[in-house]
Amino acid sequence: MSRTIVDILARLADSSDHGIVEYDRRGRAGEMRSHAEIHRRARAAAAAFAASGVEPGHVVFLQLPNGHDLVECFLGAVVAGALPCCLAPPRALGGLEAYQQRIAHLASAFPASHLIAEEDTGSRSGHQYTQPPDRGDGAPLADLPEVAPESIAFLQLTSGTSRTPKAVRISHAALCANVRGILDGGRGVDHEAYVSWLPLYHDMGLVGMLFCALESRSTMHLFRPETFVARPLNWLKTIASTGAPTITTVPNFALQHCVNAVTADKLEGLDFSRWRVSGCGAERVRESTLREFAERFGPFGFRSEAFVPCYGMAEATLAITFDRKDAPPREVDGHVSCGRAVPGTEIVIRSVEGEPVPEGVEGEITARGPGLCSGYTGDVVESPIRDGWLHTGDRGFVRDGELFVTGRFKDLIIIDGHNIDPDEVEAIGDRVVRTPGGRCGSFSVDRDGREHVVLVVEVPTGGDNDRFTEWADAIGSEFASLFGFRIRDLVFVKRGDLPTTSSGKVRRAQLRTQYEAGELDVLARHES
Amino acid sequence: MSWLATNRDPLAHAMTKPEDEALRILSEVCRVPLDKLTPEARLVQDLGIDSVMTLDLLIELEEALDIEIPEIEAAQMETVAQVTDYVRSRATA
Repeated sequence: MSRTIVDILARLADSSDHGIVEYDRRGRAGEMRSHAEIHRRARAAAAAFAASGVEPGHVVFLQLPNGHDLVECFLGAVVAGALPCCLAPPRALGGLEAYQQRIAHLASAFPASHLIAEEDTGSRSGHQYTQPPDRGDGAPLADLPEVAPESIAFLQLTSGTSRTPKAVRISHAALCANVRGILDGGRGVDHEAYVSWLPLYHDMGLVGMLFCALESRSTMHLFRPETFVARPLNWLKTIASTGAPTITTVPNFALQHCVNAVTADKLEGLDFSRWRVSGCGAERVRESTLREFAERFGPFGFRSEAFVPCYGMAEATLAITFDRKDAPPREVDGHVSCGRAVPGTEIVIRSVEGEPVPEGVEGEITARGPGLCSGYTGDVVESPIRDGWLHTGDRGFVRDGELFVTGRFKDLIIIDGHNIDPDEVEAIGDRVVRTPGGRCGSFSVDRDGREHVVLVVEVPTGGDNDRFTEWADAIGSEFASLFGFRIRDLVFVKRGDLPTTSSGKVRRAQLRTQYEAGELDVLARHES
Repeated sequence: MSWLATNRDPLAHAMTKPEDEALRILSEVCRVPLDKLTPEARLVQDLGIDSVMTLDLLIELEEALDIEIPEIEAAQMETVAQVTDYVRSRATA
């Protein structure tokens, strides 16, 4: 068993029959690059990084799409003793400014850092960058270093847009423990097939797919997210044709997208009987989605037993629980079971006072185990780990040893598997409206099987309709450029109307309840 | 998103101006009638394009017009006019 990423890399040196197949944006497969070649190229990247001034402890930001460059630069940075950190791409349709701001915030939060990007994204980043180094035959190779398992291996950003970036520190030991737990708990063996389009800047793509594939020396088919979204059939066809037991993991919306976009006539001749694990996580797992998916793909060999609902977060490296029995997932009161704790990990449900509650009672999900992160970078954010327990901020209960996630105590919005901090949404309202002493409250509501963003803004009394339209336009435009979609409902209320704590913090959960019950005294609203 | 797929007449495509083709695709992806696609309409805020539709739009444009739209170029498109201007410049380049 590997104890560090360097161990994982070392074991790739003699794996020449398996590797990574990179798919371009249009979904065209390249030649498989063997693990042995990846091993060599990662060492070449490490040597090039060291030669260009990357020192141990520096952060290496990787602004690269899913593909060989990203994988090998990530591994190369680790070999060089640096901390790789994958970044989300500039968002299409108006995201350039937000991208440049994000790079600027990262550069100021991490002064000892380097940006690796392709020419087009790098040259518009507003920051110094270098392209992925040449790693062809004959390039000098770095030696594999001795690395302490408890040292930090990489950084994982948990919300991509923030002014004060929140990065989770993951140690070699945590990564290896979580990967081993996922493989053992999921009966993963060597030389299976992983077919993934998850971005590697997301913990589920990086840990659940890439590192599980590398540790088990399985072949990975690595797609880009946009290719899946536009052409889910390509991904499905690849799953049907790997010739090996096949593993995927995606957020719920992606399974729903397959159901909505791929009709049965397109599936003629495909055989999904070797689809061993169809993981589903990163956002709420919906029973209706699993049922519709099984109905559509069952006639083509898909087994409901393959569904593996899972629960986790970057603060636990990735996985905390997942369904581990060879049977369709259980459902209780409309909640899908997220299975049992990863081997070596414990979960305890706690009351608001922090005391464990009896089985079946709802409370905060807390977890303890070797896969927990080493806290956040900097000292801006309080560590989520107290007395050895990760306080997830999620709400759930345990029945027969299985976890059912029912909601959140923390105020977090999750859209299509991506986390949005309501603070950032509220900050837009504050900046635009600037009501002295006024507050904003943001939360999400469930509509049509997805989460949607609502923002409630306090305004000075006497706002006229023109002002509301002006504010709505400015807020909408800033929100769109930061997040790339629309606010579902923007509501203006009088100053002092939002429920607050005694210290003046907005009570978002209570605000949501008032909103859903229609109890807000609305001055104006802009729905979309 | 499969309602978009295929069945395009290659000959019809050859005779269509790239910006008209882009408008047709935009209209399909956003499910907004063509007459609402004014040049100044903003893609996210006015037309309601979300991240899934964005990716769909870019791939549809690339395939229909046989061009590549680098991420960073797409990041600079905020209005309908910026999309049509871009495809016109690329198609005649």
